[in-house]
Amino acid sequence: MEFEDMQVVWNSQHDKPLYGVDEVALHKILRSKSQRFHRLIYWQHIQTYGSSAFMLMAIAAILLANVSGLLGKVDLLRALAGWEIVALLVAMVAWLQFSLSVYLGQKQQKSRERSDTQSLLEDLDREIKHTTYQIRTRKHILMGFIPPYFGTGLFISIVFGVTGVSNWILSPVIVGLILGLILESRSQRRLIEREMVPRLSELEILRDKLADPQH
Amino acid sequence: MKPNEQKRIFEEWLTQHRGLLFKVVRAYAFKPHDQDDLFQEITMQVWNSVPNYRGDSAVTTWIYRVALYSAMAWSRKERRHRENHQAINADDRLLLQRSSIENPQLDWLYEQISQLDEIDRSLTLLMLDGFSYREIGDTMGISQSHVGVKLNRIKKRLIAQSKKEPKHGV
Repeated sequence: MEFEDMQVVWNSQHDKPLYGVDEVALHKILRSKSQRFHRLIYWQHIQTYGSSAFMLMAIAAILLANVSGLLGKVDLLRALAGWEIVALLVAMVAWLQFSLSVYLGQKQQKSRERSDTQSLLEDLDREIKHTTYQIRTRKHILMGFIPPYFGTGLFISIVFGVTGVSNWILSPVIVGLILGLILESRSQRRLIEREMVPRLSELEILRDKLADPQH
Repeated sequence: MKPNEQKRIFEEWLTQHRGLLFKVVRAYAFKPHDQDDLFQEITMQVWNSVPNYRGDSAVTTWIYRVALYSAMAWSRKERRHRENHQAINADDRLLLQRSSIENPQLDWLYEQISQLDEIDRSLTLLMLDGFSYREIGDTMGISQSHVGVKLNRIKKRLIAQSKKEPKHGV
């Protein structure tokens, strides 16, 4: 009936382990989970930096073709006007800003993950900070995506202008880009409301329970 | 850290401290497929934690902290996704329950622990595994007096429950 008796019962399991483990299956699962995680990170990098590299190279190619006089020589194409060169440079800056902000965000994230924690309370604090940061970032994702969408819009409009494609075709493309931006922003908001806010609240409850002796 | 070194340390930890992981699994997950799922999650987090271990604390304390934190995080996630949870095929079980072990008193004790909240469950496991108040305080990040207050309350509750249920209560 006393706590010491419970301790004896508890210690009795040390002689005979509760479970056996299929070690081969365990190692297979760990390897596959680890590979899946690395593949996901790899594809995220490909998407972000790949699209940035593609846009930057495409803009650079058009500018080079214009400087070398190639654009004016090819049938159905015309040389770039002064304002178009400026607009392409702005598009380049927008894409550079986007990839740089993603890179810096990832670097900050890695440094947060590396930070040493010594206790469960510190683990909870770190997770609360991380979740708060994720909510804040995702809330303003519209602002983060505006530069690359704006850059892409400028690029497409100039390419259409140089190739002589009608402005009527340009309008649905621009509308599509804006719709894409709005949909992305909405899906991030849903993720915040359904997953991240409840998660943050649970973490805060756990932290309060741990920190409050009366709880 | 090189992958081979990480693998060697992980296997060493798993061999020496698997009993500890089993206790955490049993205290936080109750159905066989949930126990498998949680065991996978904990071992994954222990694997990830190997390069971060600097030797400032005992390996047991480190693994306990990683395991308890993973179990708490898993419980939260599990609660949210319980309805969508897909059962794991019984043939693909990772943890094999030893059928020869029948200990109703131990089962009763685990049942009582499972009724505590996540924080109290962690404290109870550390207390039953013989950690001192100072070690528990360091692991949890709270003061020794705070640990004392919480553990006294938990002990009283467990003793009261054992008196209510004389059949399996100790």
